[in-house]
Amino acid sequence: MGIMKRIGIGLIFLLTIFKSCYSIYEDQVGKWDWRQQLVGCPISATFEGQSKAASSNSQRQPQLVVVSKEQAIAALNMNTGKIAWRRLQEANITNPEAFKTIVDEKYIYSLVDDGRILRVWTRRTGTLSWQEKLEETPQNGPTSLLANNDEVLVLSGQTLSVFTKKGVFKHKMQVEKSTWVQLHTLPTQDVVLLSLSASTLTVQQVKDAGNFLLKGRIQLKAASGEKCILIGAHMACYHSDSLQIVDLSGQTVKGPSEVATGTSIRDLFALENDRIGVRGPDSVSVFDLTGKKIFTIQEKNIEAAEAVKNAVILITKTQIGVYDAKDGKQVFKMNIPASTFERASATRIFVNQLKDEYEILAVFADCRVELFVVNPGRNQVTSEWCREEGLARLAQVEMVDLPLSESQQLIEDEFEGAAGNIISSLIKRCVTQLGQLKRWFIRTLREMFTLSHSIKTQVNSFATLAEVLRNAGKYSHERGSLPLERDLFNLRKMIVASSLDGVVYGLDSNDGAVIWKLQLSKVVPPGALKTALGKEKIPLFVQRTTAHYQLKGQMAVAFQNAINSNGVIVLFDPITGEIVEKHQLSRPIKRVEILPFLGADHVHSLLILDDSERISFVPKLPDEIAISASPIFLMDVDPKGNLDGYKVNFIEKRLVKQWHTNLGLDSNERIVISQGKPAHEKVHSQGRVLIDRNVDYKYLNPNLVALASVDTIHQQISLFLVDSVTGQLVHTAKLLKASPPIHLVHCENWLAYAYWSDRGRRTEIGIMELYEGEEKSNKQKFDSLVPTKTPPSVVAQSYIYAQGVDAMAVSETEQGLTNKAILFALPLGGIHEVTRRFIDATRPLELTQEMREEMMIPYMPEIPVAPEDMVNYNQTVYNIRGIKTAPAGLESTSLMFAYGIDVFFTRLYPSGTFDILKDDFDHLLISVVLLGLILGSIISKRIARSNALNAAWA
Amino acid sequence: MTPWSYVIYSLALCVFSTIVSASEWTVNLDYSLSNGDSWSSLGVIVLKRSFDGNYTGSYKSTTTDNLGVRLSEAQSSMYQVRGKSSTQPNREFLSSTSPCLILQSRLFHVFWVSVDGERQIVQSLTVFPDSVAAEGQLDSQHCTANPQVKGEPKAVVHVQNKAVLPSPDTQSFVQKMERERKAKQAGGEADNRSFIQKYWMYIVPVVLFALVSNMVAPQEEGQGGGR
Repeated sequence: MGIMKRIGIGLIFLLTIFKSCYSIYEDQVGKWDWRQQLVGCPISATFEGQSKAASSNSQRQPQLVVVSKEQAIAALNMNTGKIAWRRLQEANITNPEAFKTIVDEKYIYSLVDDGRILRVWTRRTGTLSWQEKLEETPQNGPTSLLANNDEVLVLSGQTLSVFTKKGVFKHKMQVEKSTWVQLHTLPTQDVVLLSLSASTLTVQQVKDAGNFLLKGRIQLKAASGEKCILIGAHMACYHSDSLQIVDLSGQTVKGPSEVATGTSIRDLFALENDRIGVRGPDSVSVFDLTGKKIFTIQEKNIEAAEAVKNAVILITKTQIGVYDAKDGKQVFKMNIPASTFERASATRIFVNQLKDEYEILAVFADCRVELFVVNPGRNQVTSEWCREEGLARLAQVEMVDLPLSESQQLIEDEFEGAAGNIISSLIKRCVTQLGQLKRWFIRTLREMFTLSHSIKTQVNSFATLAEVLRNAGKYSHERGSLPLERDLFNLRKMIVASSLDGVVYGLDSNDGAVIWKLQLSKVVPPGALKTALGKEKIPLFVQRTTAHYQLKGQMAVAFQNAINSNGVIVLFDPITGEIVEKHQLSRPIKRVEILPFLGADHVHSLLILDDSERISFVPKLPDEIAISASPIFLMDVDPKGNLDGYKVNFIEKRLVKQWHTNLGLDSNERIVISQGKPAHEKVHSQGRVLIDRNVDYKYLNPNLVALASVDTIHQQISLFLVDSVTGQLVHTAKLLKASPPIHLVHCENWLAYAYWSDRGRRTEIGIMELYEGEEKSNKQKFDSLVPTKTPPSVVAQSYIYAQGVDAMAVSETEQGLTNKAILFALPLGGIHEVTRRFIDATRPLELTQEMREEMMIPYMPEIPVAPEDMVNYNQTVYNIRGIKTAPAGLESTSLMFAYGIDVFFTRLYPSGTFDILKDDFDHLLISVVLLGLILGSIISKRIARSNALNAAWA
Repeated sequence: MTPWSYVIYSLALCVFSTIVSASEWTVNLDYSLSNGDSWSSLGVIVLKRSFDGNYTGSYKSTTTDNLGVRLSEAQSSMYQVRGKSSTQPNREFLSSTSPCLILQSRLFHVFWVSVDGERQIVQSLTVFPDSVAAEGQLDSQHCTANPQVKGEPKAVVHVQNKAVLPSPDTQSFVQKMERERKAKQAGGEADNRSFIQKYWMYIVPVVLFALVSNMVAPQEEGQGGGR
């Protein structure tokens, strides 16, 4: 073996060691990163029964079991709202309705994964007690779950399975197909199966022997079982203003008896002693089972109502009311305490009655969860805690620079404007620098005051004094003490994120605190827009960055009115969350894009295409800009492979068709992803230097869009690279024996893709790189309408990846000089950073001498997954749907925000921290050594001189 | 040559020609300068499969009117080209460019045809001006047309076939490892480099050290001598 090879191996070894150096030290945990764990938007909540256990064991904190839309089962600490435990179920599902849970004293029963698996958890600790696989394939029909005294019954697919409480299978039986099913225990302990199909309710008794006894079929007005509740041996359903009650107790089903309530019913709830609560928009009425009205509570705009043992609780926009359940008399009514952000309307409340208090868990339309404690005796309502669960449902994220700080603005001012004469510029300079001095002085004074205050309050020994002094710098950087302004290296950003429930959040990237929250629509529910490929999104656009420091930043969000589908555009300030303008469009939005050039007031206008193919601009585009606008092209993709290209005619405000093609997809093949390049991408290097010192120029087409189609029958994935201006299909390729999930990262001159390989039964990652060759066709700028001199050549390679992939992204830096790193969110909770040097199509199998000198990495079929490459170390994050990266002011640093059911933010250093001094860089030691050396040289010079003098005298 | 061999040759030729004709298809081209209101014939692209499975295309002009004159008359409109593949009778492929660019490239076109050779279908057809034939650098935003272009349109056809992406190359990696292991067992490959080439990294520090100590030593000696 040659020495060079040994050195090469040594180098690789060293590289691996260096890699581990990039990972963090214990004292850096949480320094640059933060994580928020969420449970998702709650669909049900169960309180711990009257804290009986709490009195026997005072150490135990009472818990609240929450089940969410995001397929999570979690217990929250009642006192703090923190997660005690959380169990995430399979999130990649097609039928969210199939998710069912039942909580009893000891266990939580759950039917998960599209009705395929029954899991039982212990209630206190959330440990899995037992689980059973029910079906092989996902079920798209209705499901139901019931836990009796000694049995667990589960209906999934068209099979009713019965298990003992210990998880031993007893028997199963077949059930007819229907649109809604419900298992219910009658007061006689008989189990009935209620099924609804086309307004016909079928009631069958489930016999122990494993067969059914038909109790009757009746016609109901309500076509959906969601409008029904079960009370003892009765079932009540509503349809507009009428209430229908069915008696299930006898041998045959009786009813339905119909009651006209005189109000349009929103919801039903059960009260003690077999009574039915009917909630209308402005009243709550209570009926008995014969249909007799017992009492009515009148209240304006009731958002949610619920009953406990002897009280009915109502919540309106501003008030909480407690009423006696016997006669409907008002016991208590009070305003809800003010919160930092305006509350959305409440969608559901869950109530628990304690000795002299009521605990009310309110779920709002924006998925905010808040616990109120109402004490009628003391006449008070307190908000114990709240959780912003909407953060688990983020749709799109942008990172915005904070505005310039006052001192940075002064510097900008100093160099702003035309140069005057020497004296005026000198005066200007003096004034600004005096301003900076004043600012520094004020800041220092404030820091001294904070320090003296903390010394006064915290110090009781010398050790704590030292600690306080050491942390003095850190304290002054805590949030709250600083205004929202840009730091020296632009590392702190405002994370603006839209959620699927129509809320836009402004998060501080320092610690993840919600700075502002914008409810997009208070009157009508906001709805998400749908892309042509069927994905829901609430798109965000940065119209004006904070770079123009005299003007405020501006962003836009587009969504639709959920009732009439008309588009709505809201323009807002990304730093404060204040609405600048709101545009109600008269038609549904087909497409919304941001124009790359500036309109009036340095704002990028939005181009809105409505369903009648008309174009409008928000804000309006001035005529002189519209006339001189550079050509803008749009491409439309539909899942069947029809591609159309259009050019925008700014003057006539219409689209002109430029090209059309059909990709000729197979009948069961569908396009699933289209991925363009990042809009403001900077590519530092135009080419790749080859071993023979030639340059292979990159094919840097900014208009290139990658499409991926999936053919599930033939297990084939096709990738298409389309120039969106001309429709040129630059490259097409297929992957044989491959299936989804497929993820794409498209940037610079390469496309990385992750897919499931059916052949290897593993995840694989492929990379495609495009090169123009040794001559660049368009030296100044890329022109899609003119062909490159030689067709771009494609180099492709693929690698084995030993983990699954939930989401994929690429790091982004200020100048694009730093190596790119590809980020993989793994199902096991890690976020894996892999340098592009590993995922490279040109890694040679055999290294020659020259290649070793170039430090090329030889081809290895597998991408190593080392624990120290996880950017989130032990802070696991789950069900990640997207990762947003943004450049910081430092070239080495990229900021990353991952969002799913958890959110995580950190800084990335894909090529190491080459422009930052290490955290533990010892400034003191360096200064002392430097001073020592200077002193030493002066002293030794003196000694040498006196020695020389002595020698001369000797 | 015997008569039998003639028969065999002619049979082989027959079989070959049927294979070739089976893997050959055409794309008829029309053009419009009136935003698709009227179409005129432009030519035909013949796609042929070569022995290695790749496709080549050739263009034959069928235009009867003078394209150069028509283009220079309609410079403000769009030059649209429509393609119809003989294998997909009810599909149309539409592409467009500016007449000015075609005039600048002296009616030399580039037809970029993307095909799925296995299923014999066209996936897209795009028309470009040929930058090689153009007078000066082509620029879509600042185009300088040559109005005196005459003659028949000519074109280069670039056919892009659907490729197959590689899967991880474990086999050759294992072979490489095996080869290295064998080489190691055999005592390594013969190293033909000279002694200095092999061990320069050890020699250079020694030489440097010797040099430095030599430079220091005379001074010490000088001082010692002075005492």
